[in-house]
Amino acid sequence: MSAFFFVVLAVLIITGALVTVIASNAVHAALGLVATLVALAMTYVTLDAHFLGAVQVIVYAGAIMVLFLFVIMLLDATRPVTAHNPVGFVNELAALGGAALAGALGLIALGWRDPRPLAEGAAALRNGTPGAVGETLLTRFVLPFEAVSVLLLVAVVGSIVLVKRPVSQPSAVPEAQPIESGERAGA
Amino acid sequence: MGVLEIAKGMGVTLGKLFQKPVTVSYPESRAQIKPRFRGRHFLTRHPGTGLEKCIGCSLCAAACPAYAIYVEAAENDPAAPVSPGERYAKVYEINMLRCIFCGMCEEACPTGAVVLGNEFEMADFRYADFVYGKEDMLVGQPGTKPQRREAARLGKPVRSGFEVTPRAELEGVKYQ
Amino acid sequence: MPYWLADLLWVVVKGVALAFALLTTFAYMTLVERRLLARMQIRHGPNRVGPLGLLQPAADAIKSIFKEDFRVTAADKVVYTLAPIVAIACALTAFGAIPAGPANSFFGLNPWVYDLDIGLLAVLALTSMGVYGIFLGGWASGSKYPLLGGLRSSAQMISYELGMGLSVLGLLMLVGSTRLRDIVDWQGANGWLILFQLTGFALFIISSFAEVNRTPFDLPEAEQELVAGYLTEFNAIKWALFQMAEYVNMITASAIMSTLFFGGWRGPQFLDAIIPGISAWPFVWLILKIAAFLFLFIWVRATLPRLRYDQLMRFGWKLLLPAALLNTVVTAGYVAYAREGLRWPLFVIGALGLAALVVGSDRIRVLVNSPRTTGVTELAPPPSGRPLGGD
Repeated sequence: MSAFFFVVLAVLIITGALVTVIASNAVHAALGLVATLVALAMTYVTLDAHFLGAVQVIVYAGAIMVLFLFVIMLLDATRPVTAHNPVGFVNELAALGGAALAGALGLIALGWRDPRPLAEGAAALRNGTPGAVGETLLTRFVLPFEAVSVLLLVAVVGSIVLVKRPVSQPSAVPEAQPIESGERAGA
Repeated sequence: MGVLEIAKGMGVTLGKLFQKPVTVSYPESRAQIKPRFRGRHFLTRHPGTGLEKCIGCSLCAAACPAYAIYVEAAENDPAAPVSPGERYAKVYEINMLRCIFCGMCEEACPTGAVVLGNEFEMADFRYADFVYGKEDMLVGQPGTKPQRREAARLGKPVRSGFEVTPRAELEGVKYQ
Repeated sequence: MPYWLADLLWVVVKGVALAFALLTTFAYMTLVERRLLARMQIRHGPNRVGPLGLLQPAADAIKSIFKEDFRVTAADKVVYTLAPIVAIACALTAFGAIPAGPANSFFGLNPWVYDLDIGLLAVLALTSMGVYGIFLGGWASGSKYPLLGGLRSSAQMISYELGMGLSVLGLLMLVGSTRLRDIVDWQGANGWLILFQLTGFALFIISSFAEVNRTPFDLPEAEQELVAGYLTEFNAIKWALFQMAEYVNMITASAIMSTLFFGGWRGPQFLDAIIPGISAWPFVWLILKIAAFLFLFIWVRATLPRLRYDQLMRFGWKLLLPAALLNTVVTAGYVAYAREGLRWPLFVIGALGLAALVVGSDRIRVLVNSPRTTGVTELAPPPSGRPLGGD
């Protein structure tokens, strides 16, 4: 039974991932990613990690992907990019990177051993009560957890620095003009 | 305080929930309309003699901004006069599709013959049926043309969907 | 028949029955809402079809189903069809987690469709997926107003989901479980959670209104500005599916609020003195509580105008989120340091927090309305002394 579910979900995950890569419409690609994330969450649920599954859906599918789609729609980036690629050999580089990643994954899959330090985390995730997950996360794995949050903080600060415009001079035209004379209707 | 004002507003809507609706279930219960509501025209008669007030002068047709009125006058037979004057309206037609119910005809009329009543239920199917003749508008004819036809078909009296006390000008008019 | 298959079968039967119940409720909710709104506006409302207008939902359903189902040329075929299905599927699935009575009380079956350790989180996850329906529907219509509606919906969802999740954290810490049955049982033993989480409830109900896109947060639909928002290009059964999703979400939100803060399927226990065991009757109390909340939804719709878009965002991020965070921290501190079983100070804390929100509501409104943007220096106050702000 669980093997059947695994096969179905694996097919869903891979299909979603392929759609993400292949689709020329950015919204379709994002939807493929959503499908992957949701199927992944279901896989967690079949492994009895209910909490992880729910959090996966809430955080990734429910919040982050909505943000993704929001930006795609806001910038109207749904049309496929047809402009000439300024970097000539990017395809070759990507192929190389992909091959390296595939090789690494293959090596891991071939030489798989149950990693001992993770057993505790796996035990906490099983049956998926949030209490056990939280306790493990904030005792045994507190260092990696905090390291990840520092990493995210760096990302947030970095993106703000990137986006922030240089401090502008006070604009000559203020956005809201005080009303000098006359009455505003209904004010 | 903002939240208290919201609460006050909620109180108002809740209070209105228990108030009797001001609208009516129209065809079943009658609508209350004002006496000065302008509906289809009546051609009135003199109260004592029963003679028609209209003397066929066509001033209403001249005053009509929508050209909805057609009057054809004829000489009165002195032995059996239709109206107290020299002449009377042999044909008096108003096209209710053209009429804008402005009341100019009523203002123009020197004898107070044409008066706008309160009946508004004139919806019908054929163009010709919207042209109301003298016999359709003289006082004593209840309801509008489609209402009369429907009443005749069902063998019931005409029933108007509104209630109002007619103005003094509409002497002799009774709604059913 | 193997045991698990029978189990599965019963779950499917219960799920289908629940879906039918929800859809019937939806159909009559539309009628009840129209009638109530009408009465609040001192008019009669729909009363033509059948006695008291009771057959109106049937007429609407027949019309929606048999209407021609056409598609805008510019629409994205797949997503346009998928969007209403996603919306209604997520809405219907979410309700299954609500327990409607004690175990084995529904003809010997459990009165819930699924019961997970992470019950509340599962509901939150499903409702957060529901936004995809609105959002993709708006995009796939290939038209401007729906796109704006979809954008608003997504921005609103991101802002309010956080506040919603945070506002129940204090409650979850008190109970120590996210399983909805445990939460109901805890309330049966210790009293309704609204007593201990007043501020949390205030924040949660506001975010619930935003989550189900009801007035004053119905910006994605916004008839007066966006024609019908994300619904503009939808018609016939697809439109009906979106409406269904909205109303089912409303019912789910009501059920969640009843379950989390008002004792769930349990009734008030002092009534046991009059009729023994009345507080443990399944279904009755939950339905009553849901009905009360649904009435509140309609009542608010009849009263409040819509927020402006920027006000909505500021309200979510500047007020709701920090307040929910504060509530969480205070409750966490209390749970960590207070004596076991001593709970009345929590009521005092919650009441103080609520009072602070009410008293400070004018100040908060200025915060929400502030037109200040980056790069613009402080404006001189207008000569009339009128405060800056939208209203």
